[in-house]
Amino acid sequence: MSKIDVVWPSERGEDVLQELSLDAAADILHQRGVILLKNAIDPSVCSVLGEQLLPKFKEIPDFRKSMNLFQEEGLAGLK
Amino acid sequence: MSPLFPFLQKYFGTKEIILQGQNIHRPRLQRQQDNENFLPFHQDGGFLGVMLLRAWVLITPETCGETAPSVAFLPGAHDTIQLIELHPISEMHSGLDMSHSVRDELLRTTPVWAPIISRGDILIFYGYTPHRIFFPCWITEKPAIP
Repeated sequence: MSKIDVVWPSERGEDVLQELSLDAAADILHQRGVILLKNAIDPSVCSVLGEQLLPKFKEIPDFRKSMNLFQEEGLAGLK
Repeated sequence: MSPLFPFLQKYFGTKEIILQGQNIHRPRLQRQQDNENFLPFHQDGGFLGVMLLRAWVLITPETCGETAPSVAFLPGAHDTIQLIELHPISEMHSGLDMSHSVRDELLRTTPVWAPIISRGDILIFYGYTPHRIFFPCWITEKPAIP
């Protein structure tokens, strides 16, 4: 893998979209403290992750108000 | 193959990477009307006491930062653990809320960056990079789970 698409914040807070080598992307992360790797994981993996995780959230006792709020929102997978 | 591991290997200069699955069990619903649940500017590394790289993926919805809440950063301010605010905006986040004087000075000199994140993107940031939940001003209800 030679290059990846990244978005990072310029000094003026603007999005910079670039195709960078791993070395260059690592330098950007070091300089700016944050970087977004675009299309870096199969979106369907995130969907499956969500389907598996969301129902489990309601089983967690230490969830304070968030769980009730999620249920109020009626998010898919939490019903 | 995801570029995440090659990137991390390049970044750390090693093939051995330790991943810690944390926070995935502690989702927080972020809505404008829930002030108590609202995360202020903070540093994860400072909070946990160790330097970390954080990698976030978006679970739902398909994008955030435009029509759903996202996260906002103060880029370039990741080299120091800042003081904690003595009068936090919420007791829930006492010990987390960054010093308001430091925060305000950073906000005066550093443009806030709120990326638009799509499902499939990986957001990587230093544990010391100040960040908070970001609500686009036109959002009213839609929640997000990063």
